[in-house]
Amino acid sequence: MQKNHLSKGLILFLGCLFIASVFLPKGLMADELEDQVRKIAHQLRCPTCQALSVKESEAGLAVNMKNTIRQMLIQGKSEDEILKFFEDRYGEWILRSPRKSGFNLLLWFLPGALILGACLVLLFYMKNRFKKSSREKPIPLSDQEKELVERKIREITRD
Amino acid sequence: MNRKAFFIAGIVISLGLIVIMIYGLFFASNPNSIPSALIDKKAKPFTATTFFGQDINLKMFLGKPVVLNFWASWCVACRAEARILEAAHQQYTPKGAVFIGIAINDTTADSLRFIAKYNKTYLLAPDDQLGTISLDYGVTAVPETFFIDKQGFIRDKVLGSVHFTKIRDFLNEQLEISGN
Amino acid sequence: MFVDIGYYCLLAAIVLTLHSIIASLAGAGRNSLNLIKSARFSVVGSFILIAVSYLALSYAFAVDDFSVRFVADHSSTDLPMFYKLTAVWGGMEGSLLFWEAVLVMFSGIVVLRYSKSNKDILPFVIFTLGVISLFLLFLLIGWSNPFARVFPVPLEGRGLNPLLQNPGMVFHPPSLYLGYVGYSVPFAFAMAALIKGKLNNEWILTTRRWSLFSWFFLTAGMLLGGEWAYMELGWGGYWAWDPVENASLMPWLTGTAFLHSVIVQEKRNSLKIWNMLLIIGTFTLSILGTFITRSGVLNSVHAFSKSPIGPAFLVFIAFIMVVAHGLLFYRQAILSSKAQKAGILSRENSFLLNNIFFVGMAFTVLYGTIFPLLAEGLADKKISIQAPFFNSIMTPLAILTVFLLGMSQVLGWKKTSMDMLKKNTWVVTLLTLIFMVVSGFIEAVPWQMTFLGGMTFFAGYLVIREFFFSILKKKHIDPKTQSEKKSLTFFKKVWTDRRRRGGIVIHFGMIVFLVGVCGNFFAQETSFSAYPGETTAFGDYSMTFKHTMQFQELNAKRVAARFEIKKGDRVINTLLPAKAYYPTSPEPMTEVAIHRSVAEDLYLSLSTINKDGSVTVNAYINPLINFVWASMLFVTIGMVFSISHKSLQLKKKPISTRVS
Repeated sequence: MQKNHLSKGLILFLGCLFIASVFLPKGLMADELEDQVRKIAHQLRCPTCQALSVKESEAGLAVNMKNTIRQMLIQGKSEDEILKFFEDRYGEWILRSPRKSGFNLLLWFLPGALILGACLVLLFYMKNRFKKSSREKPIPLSDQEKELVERKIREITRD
Repeated sequence: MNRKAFFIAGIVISLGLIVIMIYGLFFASNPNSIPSALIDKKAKPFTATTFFGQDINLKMFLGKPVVLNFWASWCVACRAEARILEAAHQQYTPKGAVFIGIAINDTTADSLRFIAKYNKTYLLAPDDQLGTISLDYGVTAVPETFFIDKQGFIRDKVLGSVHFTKIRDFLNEQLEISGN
Repeated sequence: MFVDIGYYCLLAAIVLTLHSIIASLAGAGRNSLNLIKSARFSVVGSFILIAVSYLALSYAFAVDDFSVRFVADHSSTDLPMFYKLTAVWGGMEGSLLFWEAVLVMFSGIVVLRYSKSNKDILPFVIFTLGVISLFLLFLLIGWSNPFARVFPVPLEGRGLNPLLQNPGMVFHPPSLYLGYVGYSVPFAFAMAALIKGKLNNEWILTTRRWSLFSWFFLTAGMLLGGEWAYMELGWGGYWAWDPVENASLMPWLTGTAFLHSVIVQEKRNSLKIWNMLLIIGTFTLSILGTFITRSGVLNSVHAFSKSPIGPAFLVFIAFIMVVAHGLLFYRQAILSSKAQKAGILSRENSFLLNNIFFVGMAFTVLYGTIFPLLAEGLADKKISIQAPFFNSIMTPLAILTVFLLGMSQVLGWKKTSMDMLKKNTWVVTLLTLIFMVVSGFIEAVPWQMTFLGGMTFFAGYLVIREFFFSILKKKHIDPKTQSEKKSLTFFKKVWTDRRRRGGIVIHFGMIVFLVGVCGNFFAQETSFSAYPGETTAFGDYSMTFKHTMQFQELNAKRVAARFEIKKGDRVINTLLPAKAYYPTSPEPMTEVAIHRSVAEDLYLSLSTINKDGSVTVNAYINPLINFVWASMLFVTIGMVFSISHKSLQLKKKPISTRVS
């Protein structure tokens, strides 16, 4: 009884929460151009203060870069073209997330491959263990244990 | 069998890590230095108007070695190299070299004050509002100096104050002058 | 004078530490209780010496003794006393001394507390801790001596980096150090168990609280660091995947894996080698973190000066790796554990998967952090690996981990039937799917948000459900007597079986944290200039720039722009984003101003004060960000619950069986 009320209450509460969360403000800016500029600038590393992106940096060069990005966007250049523009001049170094090609493939895909491999090994191991354990003959329960099990089952089915 | 693989993996990872760290400590370049992507590439053409109204275009100087310097009046290291560049200009421009200084992120008034203070007389021009020339040359900080050969290819780049010997060696080679 | 005492204390501590190392080994070899006793005394003695040494350095800071180079470099007379005393760990030498002080303090607690209960492995614990301590002491008297003098004595110090003059920064490093050093205790017990060849679960049970404690302080340290970055760096975020941040995240990830996998060993007696590897890895990564941050092999926002201790750390790391591998290899026969029966759907398997993901994430972070070196060495090119890379590669891993968090709540040990699972999860699965469809297709948020939000919802539901169901269960088993207790009051119910309850509360804290992370996807930002009297609208807010003003705050002069913040027609706050001018720093610091509320922060960061009287400001709206900080509350409550529980097996066992 109690459990039923509880689960209903929980569902209601979390349902409300989740409806509320769905109607959160969306990350859309009034000014989409500026948003685009930031998005691209975020992917470029500031040459002056190297720990920051061009977006976060207020160094003169970074400001110039942001203005250039804006100019290029107004001219109708695509994000890829703009990134390429900077890569041509500053080298691959300027991209904060390296391109998925050549040697960098090792960066992008090795961790994933290792994790996937580990999961497969684990699955194999689990299956083996499961087979082994199901092949073994179960030890019969003592009377005391049987009674306990039945009592528990009754309890569970009662709620 | 399984356990052996485990140990081998552990040893490989540990060894790899240590080798990488040793490499990082003793052999890798300074993590803060940025290699230029433009060395041995054709220098990007640009046009500018000097503070004194002269129009310059890189094309005009094809066949002459060019020392292209990016500077700003607010930059400390630029003061250190100001006299060096001017001296080199006095010595080598008559022999056929070209010295260009592009001021970036600077106000005209400040630039002029700087020019007057150090008696700079070579081709000095401001970059445009967007910093087109400096971005075209992949400038990472001021001062930065590019060495462009007679064929119009970027041969070298120096970050920070440039030394006179560096300019001398480049121009002597380009102008086929022997000695100092 | 005091400075010299501090230095001589370090020298004396070396002698005592050497003695504790030798005496503990000899004592164990000859079975001499007296020798072991003397080793224990040496440990306590070196703690007292290091404490004196630490106080001496603090004293030098307090009285502005600039004849000490470290003080001259990291303090100045204008500094408030509070920051003078905390400047001790504001530089490398001092933080190494702090680290050593914590280490010997923990060693002291270990020798006093476990002298009876862990008699047979204690000598090797003393030995291991002694070796670590000796390494740090050698650094302290050699390459990074905090007591080194400078001549001529400067009249004024160079001052503490203004970025470090923030309460968050004051507590962030010690908290991390407590975490790092805390892990050396379970590590020492693990090594001792390996050396002694006594590889039952005792070391794990003994060090359970130490692992929890260390994990807690690492978590707290990183959250404090995030809060510091949020307040001081002025770009509206709290985590940037900087090498230094990654260095603290890696041991946290493996430490989290360790916390889970030891439970498997405790309950099911498997994963023995794995747990050894995890604690060795966690400890090594905490040392490696220091190496990465201090050696200058990678560049970082923290811009520590390149120091010569890099090679020393590298040698130490290699030493740990070699010894650990050798011992594991030597003891592999005893370490093997019989595979236990378990169904595929079982809690232990969810823990195994959890381990794969956490260790996988730690590897990914490490790999991404050092990959620039690989690229330069093997492919001869310089590349940058920063936040966009880590965000795109870590988000899927995080999503899967959160899913696992939820699943493990409904999986039981050994085996869970499919029917039971369906019964327990169909509601939440349905709700999660609706959530994901609505947010993904109708609201069109980024897919990362769709999945991360969905999984957070899924896991959150199951964690809350687990919490209430386990409390409202009719019968409770008293952990002490194993008898059933009925009709407990609510609070009694919460308190019994508090280890499990603590775990649930900590998981809930993680859910709260993840809700905060989801808020990132809705962040807005803008940059604007305003003249006095001008009003700028941003989100639901309208911000009116009133005027600029100057005032003194502690040792810094601030020039602030006064903004009146309105929401609708109501004035809700006045914000003063500012530039702070510190006497010892040529460049002004940006001091952000934040209007905090549960739903979102309005974050203003002053970019420039222009000559024409206008100001340029970067403004951010960070939804749900306070959930990130609030998670700390739940983690703390959960930790109190978990730590107050004492391991049953350890308590139940009579003394005689433990000593033999």
